[in-house]
Amino acid sequence: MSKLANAGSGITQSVVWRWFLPASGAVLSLCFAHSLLVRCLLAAALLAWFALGLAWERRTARSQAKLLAQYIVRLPDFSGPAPTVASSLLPVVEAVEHAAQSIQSQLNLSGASRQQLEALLEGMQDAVVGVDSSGRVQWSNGNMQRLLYRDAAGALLRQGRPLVHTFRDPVLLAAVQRTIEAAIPTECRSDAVLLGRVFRVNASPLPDGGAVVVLHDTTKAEEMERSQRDFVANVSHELRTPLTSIIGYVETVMDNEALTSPASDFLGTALKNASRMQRLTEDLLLISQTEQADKPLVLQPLPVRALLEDALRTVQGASYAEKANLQITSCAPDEVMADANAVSQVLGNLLENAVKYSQQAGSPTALKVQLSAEVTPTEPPYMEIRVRDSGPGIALEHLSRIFDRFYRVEKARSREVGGTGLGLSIARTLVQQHGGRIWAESALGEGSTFCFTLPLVN
Amino acid sequence: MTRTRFYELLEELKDKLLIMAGYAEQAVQRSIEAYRLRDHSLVDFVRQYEPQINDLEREIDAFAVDLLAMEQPIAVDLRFILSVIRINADLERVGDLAVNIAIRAGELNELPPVTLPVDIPRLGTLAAIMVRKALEAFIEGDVELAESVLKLDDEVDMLNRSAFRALSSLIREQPHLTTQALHAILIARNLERVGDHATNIAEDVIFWVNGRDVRHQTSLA
Repeated sequence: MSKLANAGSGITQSVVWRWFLPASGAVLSLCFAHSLLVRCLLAAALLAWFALGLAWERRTARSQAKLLAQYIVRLPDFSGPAPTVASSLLPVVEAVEHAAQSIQSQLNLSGASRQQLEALLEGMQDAVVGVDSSGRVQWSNGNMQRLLYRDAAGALLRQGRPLVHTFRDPVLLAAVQRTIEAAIPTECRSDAVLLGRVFRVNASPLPDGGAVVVLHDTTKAEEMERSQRDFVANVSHELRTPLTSIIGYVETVMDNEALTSPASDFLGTALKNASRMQRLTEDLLLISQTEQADKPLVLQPLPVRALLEDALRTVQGASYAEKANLQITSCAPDEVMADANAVSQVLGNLLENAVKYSQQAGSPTALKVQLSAEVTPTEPPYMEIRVRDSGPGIALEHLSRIFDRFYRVEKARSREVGGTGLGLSIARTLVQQHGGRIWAESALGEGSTFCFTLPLVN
Repeated sequence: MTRTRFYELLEELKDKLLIMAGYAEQAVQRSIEAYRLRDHSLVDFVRQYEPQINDLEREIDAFAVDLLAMEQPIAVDLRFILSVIRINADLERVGDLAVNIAIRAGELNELPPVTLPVDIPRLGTLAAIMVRKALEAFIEGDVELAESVLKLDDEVDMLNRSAFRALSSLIREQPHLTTQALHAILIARNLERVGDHATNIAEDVIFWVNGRDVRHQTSLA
């Protein structure tokens, strides 16, 4: 027990000496007084004495309680004299003291975790800022302040100020607003925080209704990516021109009827390979174009049936699909929010693959490719488009890699059908740019189904 | 309406203006990129921002006029609302100029690429920094920062004049590049105008904070 236990001399003793003894004297005098007036005066004095006593005791108790509270709250460094309390109150005091100690230890613990958290935030390479539910800045780490301490930056972050005072990028503000309102993590790219620098911004909801915003500098990574893309695009572009000329001349020579059989065969091989190389350069150009992060899609509401029918018509017209049975089995009447060219490219790649690889498997008469589009029962709902073929199917070990660049399940077969190994990679990039996902379901001997989702019109 | 509520509404007006400023700044930045990267998709991107800037201009104007009518503010509050109305108009013009720059950049991108004797990206970056600093001065009510924007305007004007001289000589010496040079002259001119609007914003900040009218005291382009 603390020093408080020894200090309790008892409130009752002081009451007896201070109030009861003088009052008893007054009562005795009242008993022996003869005059009515004296009795009345004594009675009035007695009442006044007790009233005064009551008020005095209350005041003393209040100041004692205050002292006690001070003593308990400042327990570790309390230097004054221990307060005097009644012995009957000691169990209560003990309980309160115990509670105070427990609160103090909790405070120490949370203080330590706060310090750890602050050290963690300070040590982060990324710039971090926390905002409350009204979008006002609550805290930020040192990297954020250092980042903004530049000529090309906005105003410094100050606690309690709206985020818009520092970050005026509409994309960033919309992402943070969405995180606060819907309590979901959001991600965006911003090049307006600091002139000449690019950031990936991640906003995550906080339990109190606010959000924590993390800015990761991707300037160098994007520059490298861009130079790689430019290189691929330039090389592809430079290759395309001589290839067109080679193909043109080979075709012209092949038209000559006087050509001997071996020469015709050689030229045929040259033409086939040159055409394959041309497809490859075209795909490389396409992939470098689709991967340009700063090239936005032109999103608009599109009826999904029209998209499927267009894709089907395009493939049906191609020579490789002459004997294929292509059909739409089911289609939801809804509209998707998508870029028409991109979706047509995705559907074209998937249908071309389905037809070419199914044809290799067996009899052309048995070849069947089915298209369907249904709304998913998820929240939010998406449009799920499925391309199902009756081909040989894909083994499980290849399924996870078929969307990688240049990955081929069977290289020889792919070469035979003129595949470049880039079609599915392009499809994946385009679907992901729409916020959808793409995957394949297949088993050997049971055909394959390629599925992808697109956002619906709200 | 209580005074506290009035000050809350002034804050709201300021925040709305900054949101609009964000669109205008982005439009300028994207239009410069459309020129630098020869990327036509950015031209459409800048155009997409224009209706949003116009809507916000109307909204802010209505908001400011309501405040003037209902509260009849005086002194610094009155100057603040008047400054917001003027800055609002300047930002809308910045948005229009960004669209002009983007359109010119788009037309330039359709022509064969040539090396022009003018550093448009530098001029663009300077103009963007001027807008940014002017807005920062508005956020902080910082007169010193606003005055530094006025000094930057001289540099932008000088760059514009030297661009004009260099491109005029190019037209005389290589007439087949006249179209490209004319587009570049117009882009430089529009960027110089963006700088002028940033100067106007900075002058409005000085008027709001000090009550001092410093218009037409800086050197002319």
